[in-house]
Amino acid sequence: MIKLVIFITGLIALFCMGFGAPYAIGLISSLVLVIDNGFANFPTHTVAQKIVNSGNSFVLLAIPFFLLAGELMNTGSITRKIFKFCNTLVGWVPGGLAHANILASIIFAGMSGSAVADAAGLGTIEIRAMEDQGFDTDFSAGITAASSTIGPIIPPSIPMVVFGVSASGVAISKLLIAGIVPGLLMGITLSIMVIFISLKRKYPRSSFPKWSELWNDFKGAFFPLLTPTILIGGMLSGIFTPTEAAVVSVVYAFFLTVVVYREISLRDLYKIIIRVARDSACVLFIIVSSALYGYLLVRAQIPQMLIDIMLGLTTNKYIILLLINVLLIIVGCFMDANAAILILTPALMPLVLEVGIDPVHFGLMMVLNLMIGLLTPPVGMCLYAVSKVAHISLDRVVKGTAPFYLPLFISLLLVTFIPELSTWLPNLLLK
Amino acid sequence: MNRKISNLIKGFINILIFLCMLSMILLVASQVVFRYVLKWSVPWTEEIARVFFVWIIFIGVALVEEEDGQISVDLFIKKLTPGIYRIWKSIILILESTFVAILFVGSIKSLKTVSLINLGTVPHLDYRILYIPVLIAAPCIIWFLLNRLLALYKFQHNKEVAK
Repeated sequence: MIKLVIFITGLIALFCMGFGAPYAIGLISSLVLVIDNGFANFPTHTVAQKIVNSGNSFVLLAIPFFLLAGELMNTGSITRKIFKFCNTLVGWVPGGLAHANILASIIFAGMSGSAVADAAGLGTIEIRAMEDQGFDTDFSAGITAASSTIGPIIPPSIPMVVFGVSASGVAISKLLIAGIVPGLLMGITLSIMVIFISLKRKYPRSSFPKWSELWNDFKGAFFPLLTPTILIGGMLSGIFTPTEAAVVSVVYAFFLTVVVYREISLRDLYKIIIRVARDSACVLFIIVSSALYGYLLVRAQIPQMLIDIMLGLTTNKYIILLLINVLLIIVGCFMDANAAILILTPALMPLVLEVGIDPVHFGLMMVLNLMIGLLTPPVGMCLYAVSKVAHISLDRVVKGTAPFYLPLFISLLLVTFIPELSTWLPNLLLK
Repeated sequence: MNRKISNLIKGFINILIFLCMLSMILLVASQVVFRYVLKWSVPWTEEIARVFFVWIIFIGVALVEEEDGQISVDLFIKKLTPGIYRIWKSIILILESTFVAILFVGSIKSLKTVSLINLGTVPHLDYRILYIPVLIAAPCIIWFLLNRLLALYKFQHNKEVAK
């Protein structure tokens, strides 16, 4: 029981006390090793081998590739083309540009696996355009932050890859495809809320587009729109593994931005590649540190302890899912999503399998829940990103985001209690 | 002097990580071309790509530390008084450096054991190639962490001199 307290509460305490996420994980693991072996026999080689070997994984290569493809596609003219096309397509619905904001996030989600990249990249263009049309800044910032959480649900998705790696045995391609329906569901629930608010506040909307206008904007956005098609199509047809699909989208994004649109010079490319390597290392160091933590967690039989505690309370799998959701919401407020996935998956997975929950369904629910955590202070990364691009305080972003917690929680509940929302498509398309 | 050394390390890391990223992209992309276009399986591309990937992780951490970019929650510690904040931040940086030192020592100890295991598709390379980036990166990471520690007190000293 002492170890359980050290593992869970000790780690959260270190996070809250300002330690870098991978160091908090590594130091707690080291503390457990000291308790087990003493200072004199501290196994430094175990620490090194667990951490280094866990990085030697081909699946994880998808993370820098997804980040690089997203970063290349996140250039001014491409995001503007996508946003313009979305506005022409759905700008006539009550709420106008707010719907274009959601649709652009859905499309951009098919190119980038990161919510923060969506919030920071698309956000700049979306918020400015919405303010110019007379939308409140708080509302514009709120819908931008809320819709950016769709990014890691629709493939490509970094958290989904992270989940797949920590829940060994779950096919990454299944997990990625499983996000399509829940991602669209999130978009629909957010749009319904936008309609309610917009009708009440009388926000402007565009007139119904002419076919010629729609066709021209579609042509303008055609090549960027092919990225998700290549990525998802490649995986669905079984041509590429997720990592290979990721590198193909990098090559395509490079071709589009450097050769076709000439948006990025070779000097810019050098800077982008270094920035992506740094950002990848930031996430990946957490992942490799967690390998040591996961190993010790299993060695201390913590997952078995959790199973006993939970099954002592209830054996109803829906109540267990509800309890896990509450735990994840609390953890999501204080912990980075990827770190939370890496730490909690090895502990919760045996319980999930024990009560007969589909691991793909569980993975989707977990990622969706933790994406909502990106909108909750104090560690709401999307809130910070939007606060920066909208040039408003964090409080105002939270105020603007508040109405959108309801549709996101409704989506979470639907995904939790209707497993088919996440399992139907991968079961249909991937055997 | 410190700044000069830091810039030198940063320049070296930037070039190294750029080369690793580029090689990794080219290797995986060529694997796709070989397998699906030329119908020719080249397994070493995957293994070498993984080696570059491990290099990116650890060399990249040095870059993250240089920019103080590690994911952390500083909301609570920012509420501390400046004096206590400095002491607490010092403890954090020392403990973080200690963990990196553990990784460094562990990697040195592991070199001997893993030298017996060769890469499956490239037999003249052994697993030590995966531990070398830790040996390069760990001193750089500790350097940047300790520089931040020094900056905490230098900044305070400068403020007192200015008063």
